[in-house]
Amino acid sequence: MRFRKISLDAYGCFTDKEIELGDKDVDLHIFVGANEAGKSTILEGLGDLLFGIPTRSTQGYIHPYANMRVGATLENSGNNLTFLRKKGTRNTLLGIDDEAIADETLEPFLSGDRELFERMFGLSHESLREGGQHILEAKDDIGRTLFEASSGVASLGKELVRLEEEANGIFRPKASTTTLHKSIAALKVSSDSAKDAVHTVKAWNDFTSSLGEANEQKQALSDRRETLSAEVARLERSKRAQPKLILLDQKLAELAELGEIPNLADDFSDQWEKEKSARTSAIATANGDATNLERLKNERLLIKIDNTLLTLKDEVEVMDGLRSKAKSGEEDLQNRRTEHQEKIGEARALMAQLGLVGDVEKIKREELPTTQEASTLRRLSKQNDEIKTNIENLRGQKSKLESALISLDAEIGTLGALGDTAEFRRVVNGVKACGDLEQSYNEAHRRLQRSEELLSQALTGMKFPDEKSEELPTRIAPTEDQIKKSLEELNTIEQNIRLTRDRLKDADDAIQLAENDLLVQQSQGAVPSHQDLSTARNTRNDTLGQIRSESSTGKVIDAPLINSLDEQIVQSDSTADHMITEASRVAELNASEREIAEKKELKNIQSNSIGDLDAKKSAWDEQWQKLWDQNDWTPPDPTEANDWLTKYNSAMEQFNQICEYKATMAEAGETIEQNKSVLLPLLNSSGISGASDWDRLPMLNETDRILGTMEAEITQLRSLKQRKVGLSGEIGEARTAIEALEEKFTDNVANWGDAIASSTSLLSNTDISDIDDILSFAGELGSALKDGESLKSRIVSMTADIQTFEDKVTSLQTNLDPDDLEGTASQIAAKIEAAHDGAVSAKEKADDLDRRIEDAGITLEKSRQMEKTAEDEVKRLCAEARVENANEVSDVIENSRLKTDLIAAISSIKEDLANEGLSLDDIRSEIETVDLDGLDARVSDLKQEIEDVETEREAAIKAEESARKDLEDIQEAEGSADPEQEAQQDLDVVITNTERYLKLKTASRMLRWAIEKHREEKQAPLLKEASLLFGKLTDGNYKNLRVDVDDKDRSYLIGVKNDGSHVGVDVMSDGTRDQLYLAIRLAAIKEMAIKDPSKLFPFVGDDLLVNFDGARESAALDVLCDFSKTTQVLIFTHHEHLARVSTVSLGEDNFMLHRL
Amino acid sequence: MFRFLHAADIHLDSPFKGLGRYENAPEEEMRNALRDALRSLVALAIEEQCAFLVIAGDLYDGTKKDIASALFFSEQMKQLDEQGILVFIVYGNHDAETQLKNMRWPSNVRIFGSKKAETVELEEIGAAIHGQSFGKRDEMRNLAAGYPEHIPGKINIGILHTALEGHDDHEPYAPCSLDDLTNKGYDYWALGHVHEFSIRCEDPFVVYPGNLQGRSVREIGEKGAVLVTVDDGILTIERHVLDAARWDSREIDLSSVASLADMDTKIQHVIEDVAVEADGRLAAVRLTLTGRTSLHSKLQRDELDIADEIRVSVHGMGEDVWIEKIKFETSPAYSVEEIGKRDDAVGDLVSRLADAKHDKALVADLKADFAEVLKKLPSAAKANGSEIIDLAKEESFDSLIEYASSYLISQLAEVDR
Repeated sequence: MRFRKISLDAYGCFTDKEIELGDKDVDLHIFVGANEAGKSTILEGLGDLLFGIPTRSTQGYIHPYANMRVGATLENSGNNLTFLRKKGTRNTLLGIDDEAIADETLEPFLSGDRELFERMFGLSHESLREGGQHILEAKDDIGRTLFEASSGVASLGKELVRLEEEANGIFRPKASTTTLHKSIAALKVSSDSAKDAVHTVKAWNDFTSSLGEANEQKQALSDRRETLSAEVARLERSKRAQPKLILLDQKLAELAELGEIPNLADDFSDQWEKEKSARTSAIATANGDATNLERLKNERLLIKIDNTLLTLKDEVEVMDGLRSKAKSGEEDLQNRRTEHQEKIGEARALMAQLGLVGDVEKIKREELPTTQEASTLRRLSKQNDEIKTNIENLRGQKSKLESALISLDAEIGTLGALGDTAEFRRVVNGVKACGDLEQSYNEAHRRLQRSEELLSQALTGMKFPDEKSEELPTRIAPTEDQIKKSLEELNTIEQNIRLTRDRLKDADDAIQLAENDLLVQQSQGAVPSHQDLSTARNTRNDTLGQIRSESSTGKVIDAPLINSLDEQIVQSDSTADHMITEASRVAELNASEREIAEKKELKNIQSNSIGDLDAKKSAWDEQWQKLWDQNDWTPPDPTEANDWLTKYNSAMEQFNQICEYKATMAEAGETIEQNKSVLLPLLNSSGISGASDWDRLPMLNETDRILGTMEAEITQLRSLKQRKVGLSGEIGEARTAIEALEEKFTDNVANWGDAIASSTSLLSNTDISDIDDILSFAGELGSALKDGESLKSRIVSMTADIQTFEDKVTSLQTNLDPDDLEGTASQIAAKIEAAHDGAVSAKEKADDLDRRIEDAGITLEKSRQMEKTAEDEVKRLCAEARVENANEVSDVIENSRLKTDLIAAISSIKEDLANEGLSLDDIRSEIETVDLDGLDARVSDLKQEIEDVETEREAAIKAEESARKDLEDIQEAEGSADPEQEAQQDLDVVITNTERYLKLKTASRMLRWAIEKHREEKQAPLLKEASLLFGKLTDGNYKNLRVDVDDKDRSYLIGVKNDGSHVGVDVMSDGTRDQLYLAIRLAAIKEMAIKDPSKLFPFVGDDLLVNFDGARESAALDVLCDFSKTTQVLIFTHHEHLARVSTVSLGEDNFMLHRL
Repeated sequence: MFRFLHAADIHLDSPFKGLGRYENAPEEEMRNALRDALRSLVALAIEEQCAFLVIAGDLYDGTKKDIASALFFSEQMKQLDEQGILVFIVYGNHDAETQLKNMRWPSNVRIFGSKKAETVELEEIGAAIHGQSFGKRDEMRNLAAGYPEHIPGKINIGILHTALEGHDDHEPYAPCSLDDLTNKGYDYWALGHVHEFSIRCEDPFVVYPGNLQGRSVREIGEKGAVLVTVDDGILTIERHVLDAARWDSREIDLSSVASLADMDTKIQHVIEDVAVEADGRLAAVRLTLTGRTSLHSKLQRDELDIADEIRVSVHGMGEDVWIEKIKFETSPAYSVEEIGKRDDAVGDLVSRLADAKHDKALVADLKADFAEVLKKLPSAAKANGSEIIDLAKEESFDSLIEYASSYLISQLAEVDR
């Protein structure tokens, strides 16, 4: 099938794009397009066109899925079909009229599915490289190599390896750690566990019986032990009880003797003592309380109270208050009066300071300046001072500036006028620049000379036609790559020649040895022929037959005849034996001859190889010569080629340097000449003279220095003049400021006059500069006047307080005894207060005694009550002890205690006996039945018997425990993991692994077998075609492909080069392996074509030739061009040069170029 | 009025088959399923105040000598004894020769002898129970024929382990016809041997209760016992589902499935369905993946890993489901025939595979391979009934080659797709 037209109506980035492919026999199409031009889109489109657009197509980004269309005109065996493909699941083929056409319409044009089309007929740069790599991986498996390369199935070998590895991982006969081995081991463990875990019914029943028997025995022994223990207990009880019974009877008798005694409580004695003591104490307390009451009553009768004074309490308190106030006033009055006088004096002095006259009392504080007025006056006075100071300062500053201006004028005068130096400066710089350039020029020249020396050294020994360095750049030497590659080829050829010569020598040696052997064998004499052997045997047999025949007829055979015949037989047999021995020697001789022949054959092959290799070497020599000839280089000896390269590279480097230096020199020289033409007139006009233009340089240097100084002075003068302008400005400014301040001063003085006039008439004559002192005195005077007024008011108040107090004392005197009231008001007041305090104190004491008398009465009453209670208690206890007299109570208490002790002892004994578990009567009866004398011996016997029984019982318990444990073990095992279930699961794992192994092993064996069968059948024709193609694709470097077998009987593919040398795929370059892969693929397609050319898809290559060098690229294009006669070939590339190379290699008529 | 329970084919000591090992598998729960089912049976008998329990053969699987199961059974029977519930048992083919017979049973357990049919009359409730155990595994006599005629005035119940007139999946032990049974005039035939619940006749009742708990994927669906109520001479029956774990088998068609993730989703839906049907029980399910799918080659190649991944995925669902086995029975999405017809190397290889079985050298190699692995296999593995191992044992290379061919073709067709 071939594409005749491709229409990308609405597909990917294309809209209405049509590509005409024509209908030539040579059907090679090269599509060139930059990245993004749509190369990949067309590649994908070809597949979609033939086999349908996938559901999730990536090509619908411009045209919606529903509108996507890709079409073509196909041709197959003379039939054409034009159709469009739309996206969808059914009826996706459309005819030219856009009507659906049946899917079957396309079938005759297709020879397989998309997978086959893409895998076998599609080949990209990446898959080519990957395929080459797979050839390398499968180097000792020719079947795999051919299959993978011819089918495009890249990883068949890997699949085979995977199958084998997985199968081997599961099971290998001689391994022990494979998955299957492990699972079998696990199964064994769990099966063994399952077996160990089995508990049979018999075991269960046996253990159950053992348990029952042990249990019964244990029970019987327990019973016996109980019986014996009971007897021992009975005897020991009698032994214990007998003395206790005797003691009991004795205590009962003592109790009877005591007779009737009241049963006093245990604490009766304590109660008695306590009550007796309480009664004594109560009597003493009551008597004490009565005495105390009497004493208090007497004390109260002695106290008298003045009730009159007590009624004047409030008045006395008021008088007391007035008295302390009057006393304070009397003490301070004089001080205040003195202080008042001092203030008057102070005021008077200040008045003098201020120049005021008259009575102090008449001066009014309101006439003095207020605080605000004083502040205004002070501010005006301060401003007055500040203005005066500022004026003084400005005047000083102005004076300094005027002095500086005078100095500056003097300095400017010394510098005077300076002329323009610019022209001189330009001349000087120009001449100096010329000097620098000349220095550069000289340096470049020096280096140039050095490089020329080095170049000369580098060229030494190089066989140039003319060893002049100037010619170097005009001739192109072979490139380093070319030389190295050529040397590599030479190396391979020489290596092969050495190898082959060695083999040839080996072959000669082998032939020599074999011929020697043959000579030795031949020297052992002539060999009888088979005819001789046959004749000898026949003679012997005839003789024997004759004897038998004659014997059978009864004929008498004489002795000489018999002897003769015997001899004949012996001789024949001997001859036959000899012949047999010799026959064996003949076989050896023949073998030796054959071996020699084989060795010679081998030698011939090697000789031929040598011939081939020599031819190859000659070809190489020619090629080597050609490599150099084209540029007129004398070729170096190959052994010296590397040295040649080093020298050549070094020479080239120096030559480049020389060129660079020359350029520098030329440039500097040119600039110097230009500068000179400008400078010389200037120099001449500048007055700088010298012998020649450049001798003036030292003088120019001095001029340069002077010019520098002059330029500095000019700069300084400019600066001074600028400063003078500044100073004049500053002086003017100072003058203006002084005038402004003087005006301000005048205004301030006028303001002062107004302020003082409106402030106070007292200070109207005050000067502005004295105002601070005056205001200070005025302030002090105001304060002194104010203090004097305050003191005077205070003196009046104190005098009034003293009078009020005296009035109060007088008022109280009328209520008291006049005899006692002599002295000052204060003294009288003190007496009144003392009398009042005495009356108050007496009253308080009398009240206290009254309260205490009442309390003592109550206390006495309580004591009497307690005394009576104690007496009643004593009487109650006497009654309890059944006595009238309290003195008899102690005897009764003693007897009662004795009785209690006896009863307790009796009760204890009875209790003790009761613990024996029998009644007193039963104990008495039991003791009567016991032989108390033999009791200990009997108990000892019984205890021994109990011990024996216990030993037996313990054995029974152990037996019981053992049986129970056995049963428990079985029951516990029942509850734990089920070993048999686990074994079953392990078995399932073994089966799963085995099944998987059997499948994989069968599959891997079959796959290997099938590949081998495929190889056996396909190898020869495929290799034959692939050899041809490989030779062409490698541009004749390789003659053919061959299959070789290694010492392990593994077949592998080798390439045979033109010189006959063999190159394994492992030593081929990547590019050569790519060509090998391509050769096999193309050969496989050709094989298909032989069967049915109509069953071919076009061959589509994507950037196939990227890694092909120039020669092989052309060769590959030739091959593909030729191949396109078998099936259409579409080559996509983004390398523009491929179009050029194709045109050169194939000619424009032999391919179609399509630009995207 | 009285009630009794009819169960059969408990196979109490039988291990579960086919449960491969994998992490987080609910082993213990599964292992206890048989016992849990028996506990449920006993609980039901007590709850319904049954007069007696009938077990119609194959109480044990007969594969074990271990007493553990018998002890467990004994414990359960003691519980019935405490409630005054009697137990009538016949042995069937599986437990005819079990060594667990010699166990001492609680006093309420009555096991019928194997020499002839025996009858127990329960005067209090007016019932007569007839039964006969198998004396040997392959009991081929018609035991039913020897059962006594019915006792008039009593409810007659016959207990028999029989295949009746044959059953496709069961050995034809103690064969008899339905007429043999119905003609005896009994009121109820409590049969055992067939593991599916079925009522063979309703007048009189001839009933297989099926087994109490499924033990392998061959015993899927609900399992339990039959509760029989006798009221004034009228019998009514009611099936009770008592299994503690449920076996299930699902086929999953992957025809429309294009990715492993989609397959996983589909499997998860199936598992959810299995869990719903198991109604809170642990379920053991066999998944059979079928259908023409583009996943075919991947499934074939990585079946063990994929099986593990499916198990992990199912485990992650948190459902109480054990994946018993995953069978990969998908077929490729492409046509093998078409591939074989191609002229290219793949077509050549595929067409050659069909001839592989005729290659003597290949067959000899395979024979040697199989002999090596079979030599290593424990006898239990060889006798387990694995189809593939059986083929290897029988040296049925044709079938194995068919297996492998299918596998290889799928891989060849998919390589580099």
